Amino acid sequence: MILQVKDVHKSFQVKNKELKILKGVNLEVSQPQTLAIMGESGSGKTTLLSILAGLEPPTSGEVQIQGTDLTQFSEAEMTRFRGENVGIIFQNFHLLPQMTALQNVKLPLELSGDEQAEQKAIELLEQVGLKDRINHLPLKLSGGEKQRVAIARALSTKPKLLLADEPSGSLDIETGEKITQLLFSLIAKYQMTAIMVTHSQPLADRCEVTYYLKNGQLES
Amino acid sequence: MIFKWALQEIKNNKKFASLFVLNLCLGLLGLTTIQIFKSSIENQLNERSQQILTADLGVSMRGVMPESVEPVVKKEFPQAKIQKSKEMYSMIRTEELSKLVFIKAVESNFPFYGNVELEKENLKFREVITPGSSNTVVSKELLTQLELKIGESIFVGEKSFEIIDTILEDSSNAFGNQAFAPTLYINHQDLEGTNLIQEGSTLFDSILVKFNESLEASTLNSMANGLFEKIQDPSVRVTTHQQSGEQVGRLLGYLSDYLGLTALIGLCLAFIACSFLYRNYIQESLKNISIWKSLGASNNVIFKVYGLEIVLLSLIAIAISLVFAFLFTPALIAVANQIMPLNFEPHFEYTDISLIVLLSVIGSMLFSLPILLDALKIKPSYIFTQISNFQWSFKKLLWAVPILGYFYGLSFLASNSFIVSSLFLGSVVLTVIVLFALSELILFLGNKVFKNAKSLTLWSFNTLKFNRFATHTIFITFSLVGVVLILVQQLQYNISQELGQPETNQVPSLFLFDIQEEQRSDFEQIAESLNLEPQVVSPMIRAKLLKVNGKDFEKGERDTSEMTREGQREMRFRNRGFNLSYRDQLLDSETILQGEDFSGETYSGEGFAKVSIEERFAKRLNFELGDKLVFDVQGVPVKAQIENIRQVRWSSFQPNFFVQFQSGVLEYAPKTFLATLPKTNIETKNKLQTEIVKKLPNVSIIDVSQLIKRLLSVLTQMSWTLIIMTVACFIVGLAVMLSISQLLLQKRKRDIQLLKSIGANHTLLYKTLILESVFLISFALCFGGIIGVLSTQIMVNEVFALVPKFNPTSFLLSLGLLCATSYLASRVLIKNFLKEKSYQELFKE
Ligand SMILES: Nc1ncnc2c1ncn2[C@@H]1O[C@H](COP(=O)(O)OP(=O)(O)OP(=O)(O)O)[C@@H](O)[C@H]1O
Ligand SMILES: [Mg+2]
Repeated sequence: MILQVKDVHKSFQVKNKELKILKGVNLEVSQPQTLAIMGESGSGKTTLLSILAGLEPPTSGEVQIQGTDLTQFSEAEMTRFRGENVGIIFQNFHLLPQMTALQNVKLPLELSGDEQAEQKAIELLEQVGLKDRINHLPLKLSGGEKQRVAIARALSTKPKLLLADEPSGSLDIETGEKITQLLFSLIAKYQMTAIMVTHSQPLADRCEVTYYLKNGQLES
Repeated sequence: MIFKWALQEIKNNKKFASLFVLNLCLGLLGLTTIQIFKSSIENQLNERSQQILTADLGVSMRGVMPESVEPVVKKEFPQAKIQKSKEMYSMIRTEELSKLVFIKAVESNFPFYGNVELEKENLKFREVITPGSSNTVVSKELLTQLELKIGESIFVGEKSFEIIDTILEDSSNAFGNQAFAPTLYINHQDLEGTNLIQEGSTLFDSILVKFNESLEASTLNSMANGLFEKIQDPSVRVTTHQQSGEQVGRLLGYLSDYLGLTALIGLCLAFIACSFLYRNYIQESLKNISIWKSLGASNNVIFKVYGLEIVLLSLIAIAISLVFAFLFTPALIAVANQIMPLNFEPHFEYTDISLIVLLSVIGSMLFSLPILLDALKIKPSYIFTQISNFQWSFKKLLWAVPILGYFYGLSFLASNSFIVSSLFLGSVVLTVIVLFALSELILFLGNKVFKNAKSLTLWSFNTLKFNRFATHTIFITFSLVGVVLILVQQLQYNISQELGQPETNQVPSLFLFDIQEEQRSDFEQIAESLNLEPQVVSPMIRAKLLKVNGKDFEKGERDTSEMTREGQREMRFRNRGFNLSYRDQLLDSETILQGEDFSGETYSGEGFAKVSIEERFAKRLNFELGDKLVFDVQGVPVKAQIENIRQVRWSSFQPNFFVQFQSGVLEYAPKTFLATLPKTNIETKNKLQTEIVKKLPNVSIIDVSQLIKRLLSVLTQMSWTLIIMTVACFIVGLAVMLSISQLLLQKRKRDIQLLKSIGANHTLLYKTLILESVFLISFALCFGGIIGVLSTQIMVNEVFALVPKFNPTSFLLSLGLLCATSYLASRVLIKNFLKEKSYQELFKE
């Protein structure tokens, strides 16, 4: 079992009022596949994603990745586990502006203690088509190029689970299309499970399964 | 409307607003307190200067005034009222006891201004101290000291006086002479019978002048100058009452000047912090500003809203700091009253307060306007692009001009001296430039060292490198905090070393001077009969310095064009005669600093005699080891060469001299002796005084223990003021450091969340951040500390004209304490910062 989500609830405390966002989310992924999660704005897609990434604890319920329960982890264990098993791609790329493309991609590898960090990072940057941009700072890269670096970074530790929050949301249609293509080819290559939150129907159509988040629950 | 918007901005940015107010308020606090303190002192000195001089104008000299002076004064001011006064120290005695007193011989219309109030309400001073009455009034403590009652008689010199009453309050007594000796008033005419005034007597002879109408300071000044020209005797001084008031206030002036400049550095720090906070705030408001613009708000409106916000915040800060200043001033005034018993009271003028308010608002405007004006240039398209078009340009450096002008004005206000404020500002600017260069250097070197560093270390250093402005700001502020604190601490050390803490055990109880040569054996007999062994008996020989290395001394190069206070002091030294001494061993209060000790060596009779010079004296007159001096010892030229330079602990209260000869040279010159007697009980002390005054009436005795008691209390007060100032500086510094660090950390929130999401754990992040802050803090504080020590040395040397001392232990201790506190503070900050578990920054659009 790659991913198992059991009856996850999430609510926020806003000015003494409990705001229930997720009301019993269930999801099972047993073999590598691509999933799209769609839903109205404010329905809780990002919230769900950050729970899956272990960035946010659920109010109740259970999340298991490859058989291990995330909710049992301490913070340090969680960080380590995430570094090795989960890659995240953000809508706003979130590259570290003071580091070059190469250094950005290298970072997760170095953090996990990989000896061949540099070599692997260069390889990945080649695969996303940025061979001649490896020593550039993010400031000098276009939006599409930034997202390529972000993808390379998310894939650098070869995680089994890739989470993406509107990966093409900040890009124009054409560039978005290219990035999507690249992303899907890499996912296929590394046999990963990918969960993508998106508003874009074409992106969702590429995925094997599409879920809708409605009233705090997932519907297919 | 604009007002409402400005208020709304403040409400929406409470964190910025409170940090800004806190910093500005702390920075202003020192300045406001000092300003109120100064205005209290100045106001009262001004009001009281006529009472202190007791007249409008004083014509005075040390020694007996030539007969010719009085007619000149009368001719110059035919309408004015005139009276004479003579003041001197002398021993007085009863049948059993004796005591050194400060004698004031005045005419019966004394004083022109102010009043000498007597204990008995129905008695009037002027009706008591009448010519030929042989009446006297004395300070109260003299009665207890001499076991006297009102109505009894005492001997002043050879004449007997009846004590009519004691003095309740004397408005002319500004210096607190009673600390040294109690006061005793007699009539000017009665002085004759005492035979106290003889050839070469030390006294202060004055003619006091009162005009019929009150005159402007400038008019009075030119009148004084006119009179001085006419008198044609350079040893006669003409002072206006304002001048004498200033003189009295000089000690307090030094104190408040010093405190004022320290406060200014605090303000400078606060402004740096505020402009940093503001810059950050504006950067975060860029989106808002571009929205305002896209909604059609003109630059003018936006400028007004944000400008008003700054004015409002500054006003709040000023109001708070004024409240605290009013709380602190009474304490400072209490210290002033200890130093000078003038009964100062807190006082302020609305013009002063408005000046402070105006200056503070102008200050914060000057620091925030460049940032705001820059921000206004932003294009409305910023909402979409998030790319700001800020450009660094040399034009922006022009803002430094009004800012420097502003600080120049402030430091002038604080120090009242062009030289001091130029020096001060110059050194602050220089320090900032040096620190800036150092900061660049560190980044440059760091770049080489950390080039191939891994993961977080690289991230950490690159962050410093990329946010140059922030890094430089934090480096410079931290260093400046280091400079200020070490400066204040080292200055305090130097000053307290200079004043010295008298070692109460070793200090003699009685100090005797003017023992004539033929009286020496009598004196020793008296002491022996009471089982007292004199600690030291030192000969004292009057002499003048004729030549230094072959050049005439009096005509030595003098630059009179720019006379500083220090220069004036040197002039006074040059014109004065010296007291020489000789002795064949060093006292325990003396240490040789340079050259050879010649203890025990007797003059061979040929060549130059060896002399030892006190270090500060040598410094002031630019004497060096090996210089050849020629003294005029009562008509006989004596050649000498400087053999060593000596340090003297004056606080030992042993008889010490600036110039000390080897034995075998001055033995035959006419001389008097100084002697000290060890601690003993009061009875023996009294017996000894009585014996001495009876048998050796011209010998003066100072009760050292009394003197020390008062000195110690003033010293403690002074050093407390300095310590409080140091602590206050430290608090300002810490607040500034913390608010800047806090802000910088906040800016890295997104980075931290991202790093966590890609596998950087808490411990690693914590270590990295701590390492980074230790790296920055320790570099900054150490450089700051070193600059602080250097500037203290320069300041002590140049401004205070003292020999700079450096105490490595206290330096290292305070630097260590400073580093430790900053480290602990940053640790708390970082811990708290990393505690936050949210990842919201990552999912923001
Ligand atoms: N930390 C929080 N505290 C309070 N409320 C929150 C918090 N995080 C999210 N919410 C609320 O939860 C709801 C869901 O937010 P979320 O970001 O998951 O929506 P979304 O589906 O990703 O929307 P969009 O498609 O616009 O990105 C929103 O109403 C939001 O206001
Ligand atoms: Mg979302």
